Amino acid sequence: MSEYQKALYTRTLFDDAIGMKKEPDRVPVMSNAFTWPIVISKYKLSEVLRDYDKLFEIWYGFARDYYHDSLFDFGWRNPMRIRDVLGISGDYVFNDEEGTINHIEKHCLEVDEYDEFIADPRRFMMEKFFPRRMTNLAGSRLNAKNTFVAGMNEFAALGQYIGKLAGAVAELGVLLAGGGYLTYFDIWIHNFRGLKGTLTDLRRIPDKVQAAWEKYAPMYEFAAYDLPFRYSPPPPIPPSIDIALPLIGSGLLSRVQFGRFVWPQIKQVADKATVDGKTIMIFAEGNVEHLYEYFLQLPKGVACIQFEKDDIRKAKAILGKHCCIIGGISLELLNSGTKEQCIEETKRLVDDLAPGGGYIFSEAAMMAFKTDGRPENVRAVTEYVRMNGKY
Amino acid sequence: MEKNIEEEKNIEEMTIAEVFEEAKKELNFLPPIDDVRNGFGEVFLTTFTVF
Amino acid sequence: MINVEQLAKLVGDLEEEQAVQMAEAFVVQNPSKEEVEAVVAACQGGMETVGVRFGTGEYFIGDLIYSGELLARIMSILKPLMVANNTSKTGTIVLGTVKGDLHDIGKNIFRGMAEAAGFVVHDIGFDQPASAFVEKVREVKPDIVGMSALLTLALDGVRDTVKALKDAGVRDSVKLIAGGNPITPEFCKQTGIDAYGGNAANGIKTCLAWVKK
Repeated sequence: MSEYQKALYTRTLFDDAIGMKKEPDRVPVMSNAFTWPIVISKYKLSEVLRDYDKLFEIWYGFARDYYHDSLFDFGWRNPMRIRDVLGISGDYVFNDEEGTINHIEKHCLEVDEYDEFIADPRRFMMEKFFPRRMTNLAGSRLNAKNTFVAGMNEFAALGQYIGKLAGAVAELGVLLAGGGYLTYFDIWIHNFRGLKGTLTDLRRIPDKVQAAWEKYAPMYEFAAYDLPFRYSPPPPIPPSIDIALPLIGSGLLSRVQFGRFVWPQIKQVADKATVDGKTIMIFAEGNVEHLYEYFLQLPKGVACIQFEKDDIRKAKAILGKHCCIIGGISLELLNSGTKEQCIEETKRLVDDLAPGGGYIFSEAAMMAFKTDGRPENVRAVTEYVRMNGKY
Repeated sequence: MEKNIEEEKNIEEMTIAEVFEEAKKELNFLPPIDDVRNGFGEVFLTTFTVF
Repeated sequence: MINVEQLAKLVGDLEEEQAVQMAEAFVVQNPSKEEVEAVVAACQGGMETVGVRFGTGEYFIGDLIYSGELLARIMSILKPLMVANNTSKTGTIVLGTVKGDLHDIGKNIFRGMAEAAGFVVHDIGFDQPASAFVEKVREVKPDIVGMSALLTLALDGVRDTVKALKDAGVRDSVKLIAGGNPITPEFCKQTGIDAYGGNAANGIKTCLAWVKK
């Protein structure tokens, strides 16, 4: 089989699982590993994230040594070389000993600047947001230009690394997850107003926040959806899923707030994706049981949802006929259980969740620390699904 | 020599938005097509709004 | 004159503007020490309601965070009165987020509520090594030490802090309470922590019970 044919086979597994029209050939396995493969290696986290050769070594090795059908993170989550050049790295505190990265929230929009933003969001972004976020834009304009050029060159280098990795792991039948698309809420909490700021703004000045998001939307939709998913030619190797949509802060909102501030955007992108023939993976942090009524309104066959703290069997019972469920084995078990216990639990999960299709196996939460799993267990469970997940 | 100094002077009078336009002209790994370079620029800015 | 039940209800309902208006109208009336204490108690009661509603799933984490902001705003309005009236100190707490963890929202909510309850809170900040806790305990001799952790990785920091307090010979002079996502009652038991914080309102209740003994 050529590399492309292997890739197509894997893509079909995910398409069938998400499409909900038929059972796939076997249960696909999505990786939930973020920095785990790096922190269990001989290398330092802060070093690897700045070195595409080392990143390639780690992620290719991860694809080769385990039995995932798709990688989710593969270095894009923390693009340190680009951050270094732009002067963003100061917001990210590394502890190589413990293998942690902490993001210090930035508020690049002050609460009294909403009107200014709404009047001309593009101007605000260029004149205030980016200079505040990208500290290396300071100084002379020549320096700013050089910073932009260097940043975009590094961004291209990231793209090259991703392309190289995609081709190499496709040989193994492994795909990479596709491009990201964020809710305005998640965008806002990251570097516009922070978590507390956004939550209080939504209470105190909700109309202003919504107006700001409405004005920001055309810019965002064009760059984050239209260009990559509508106007660009398809990549030579398909991703496993096209659009990765994280629900990070959104799960912190109540049902009512989610319905008002987040759901409309998700519904809109799901409708667009249906028209464009793209698949979405919603990556939900925390427990989102209170949002199931919304997931039931997604167009059928376009999305799969990764659950972290939910009762996965309950999610399957409520949502299982409507959307594809992603979930699986707990990190506690992967870390402290025996191989036999892990396989036993995996068997139970597959037996309960796979029948009828619409199920993708994954580690239950983001794997970031050494203690998030033992390699032999991760290998055993992914191998089990690979060998025994046939329909 | 004189021309370079003139160019540098012009840059210093530009807004950040204009500087960004200048930067896109130097993306030698991309074809010299406005749509392509502008698209790349937009994706870059949007990505580093969050990441 | 202030309707304390109404204020408690507004705080519990997270009706910030109305609660703030009531507090602002109250301070200009030149209230007595007893009236100030009643108002602070009403805020506490409102926050308890928030805690209960969070427990039942009516409120979510976003609401909890917002309640911290609401409380902070009201307390800043009442502060001049509290200082002026010299409202009696309930007790002293040393509070911090342990080493390896930069999260402080939960800790800050707890602090706001503790201050509302009349505690003097020495907040040593986040990512604090065990030695920082020990140093502060030696300095201010608190009634209670509160440890916050959000990352599972930071549980080691909690254990280290408890051990360091023991080694320094000050563990028995304080009550220990811990809170945050990975903290469980079992963990607290195993680690020798006196109480599991749970949500901030429950934690404050526990602390009040300790100092009233």
